[in-house]
Amino acid sequence: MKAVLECASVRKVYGEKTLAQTVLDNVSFSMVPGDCAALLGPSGSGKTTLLSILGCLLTPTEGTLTINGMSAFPKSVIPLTEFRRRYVGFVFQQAQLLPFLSVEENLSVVAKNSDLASHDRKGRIDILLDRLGMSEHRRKRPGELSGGQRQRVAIARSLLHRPAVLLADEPTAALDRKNGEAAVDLLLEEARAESTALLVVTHDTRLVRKFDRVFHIENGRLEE
Amino acid sequence: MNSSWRLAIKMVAFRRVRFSVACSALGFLFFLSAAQIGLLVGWIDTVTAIVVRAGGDVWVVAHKTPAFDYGTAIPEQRLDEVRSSPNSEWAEPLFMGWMFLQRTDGRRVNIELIGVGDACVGGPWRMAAGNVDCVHEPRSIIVDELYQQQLGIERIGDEIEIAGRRAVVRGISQDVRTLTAAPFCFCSLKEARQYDLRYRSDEITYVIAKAKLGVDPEDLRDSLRSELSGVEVLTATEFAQRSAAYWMLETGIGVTVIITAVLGFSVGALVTSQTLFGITNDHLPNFATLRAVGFSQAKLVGIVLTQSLILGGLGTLVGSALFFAAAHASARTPIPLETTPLIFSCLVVTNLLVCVASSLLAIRTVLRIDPVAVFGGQG
Repeated sequence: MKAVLECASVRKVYGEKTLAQTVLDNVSFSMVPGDCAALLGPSGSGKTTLLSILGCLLTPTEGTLTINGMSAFPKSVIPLTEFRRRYVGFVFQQAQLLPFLSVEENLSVVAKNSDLASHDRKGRIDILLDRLGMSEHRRKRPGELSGGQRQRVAIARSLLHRPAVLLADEPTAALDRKNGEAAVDLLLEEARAESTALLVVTHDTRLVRKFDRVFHIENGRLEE
Repeated sequence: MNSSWRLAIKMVAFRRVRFSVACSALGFLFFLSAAQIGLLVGWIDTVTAIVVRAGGDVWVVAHKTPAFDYGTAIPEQRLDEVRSSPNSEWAEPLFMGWMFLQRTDGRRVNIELIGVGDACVGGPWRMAAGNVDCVHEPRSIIVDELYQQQLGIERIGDEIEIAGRRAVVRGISQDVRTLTAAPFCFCSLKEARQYDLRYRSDEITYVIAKAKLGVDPEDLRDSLRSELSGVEVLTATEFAQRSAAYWMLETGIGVTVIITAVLGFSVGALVTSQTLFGITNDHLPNFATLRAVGFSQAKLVGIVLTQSLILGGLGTLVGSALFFAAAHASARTPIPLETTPLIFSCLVVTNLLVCVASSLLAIRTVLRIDPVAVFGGQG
């Protein structure tokens, strides 16, 4: 199967000369559609930097990144914002929903910014809310939801535009164990259902058995 | 509704108390600016009213007459010379002099006495009671209803004294205002010269002339300039502009109100800027999230600009309502707030542009957002 995410010899160095600090060192890996991987590593190991580069939010010092067959680094064929808008989905530690919009509006704002056809948007939102058990909460604002419910909405938002790659940054960190596990189960289920490559950063080693692949990162070096 | 508009509205109005306070403050500041400009428009109308409403195309005035209110004597012979000009349809004399009026209770009030010719050109243009032609009756005078109380006049038939001579009020005019605190009183030219003994019987203050059909006011002015000596000849527009420039610029009152209007806009800009900056700062994590999920910088800037227009638009609505209420309330007072569709449109556009310009600080903040900030992890 053709890889949707290819990361080759990626290096990231912060600072210059004597102050230079290598955060990522020669990181290479690839993922195919439906691939579900966990990324483990201690604090300061480079997890967030790697996730930022894979999400086209940060430019690597060296190396290449290809998403869905298109080069993002070193030479991007389209603006990086477009990569994120079309091919990348994010789930953050805190759900990061817009507090002034209802659940449905949170999804619809992102759907309208995506390439989804207008007739497809409403149906897509309905399907995702239904699958994630949030249909009855669609008119509520994030402040009226529990942490687990907010994270479900965030998962729905990340999948709206059918991304090729879904990146999750410690999605269970703000949840209790039960809700955390449920959130990861949902992510895995949805990623497999949508054939999306899923990379989840987590500290929770109990969850790793649920993933197809496990990456370890330490001192900027990635191992599988 | 467009999703960016909906997003901008919901974001800016999320904290309702702050939003309401900001809109009210902007509304009040727009009102302040509009009221100052309204005063200016009202004052310009006041100081040019007689010149504009007299209906003449050309005014013959003494050399260096700074404004209508400060006319000095010219020979009445100039009236005959203008009447004999082939380009003039008609010409009428006008007297203007500063006098004092003694009320029945003995108090004296400064007035600007206007003496009109047989055709009443330069006389009051609207009457509340009586008829304009009554000025030609012996010892007759017309006063304005806005200044009745100041002049101690209750009704038609009341008697007062002007420069020691008895006069009878036979008409009450409407909306003939003065900027000088000395109300205009109208009488016949003959009577005026008898009240003001500084004028000789063959002197007047102005000649007002109408150009013949097909003759431009400028052509009539030029021909009269070549025919008349010892006087200045101006079109009505030029004389009105000169009068307005004297009062608004030379006396400084126009500059003062313009400065206050600019201050209103400036404080409005500060309020908008501070409000938008505060809102943007409050929503930095939300902007970062939008950026991370694929919103372009242009879209985020569009959201901030939309918010500035929403604040400016609502402020303008509130301020306009206050202004028109104040204009309505002041319409029958000596100091009215006035405007024109063009001037008010310019104020609205200026206010919106000021609000948009005030969003620069917020836009700068949005452009500097680092979407990586959405990752809370330390790895």
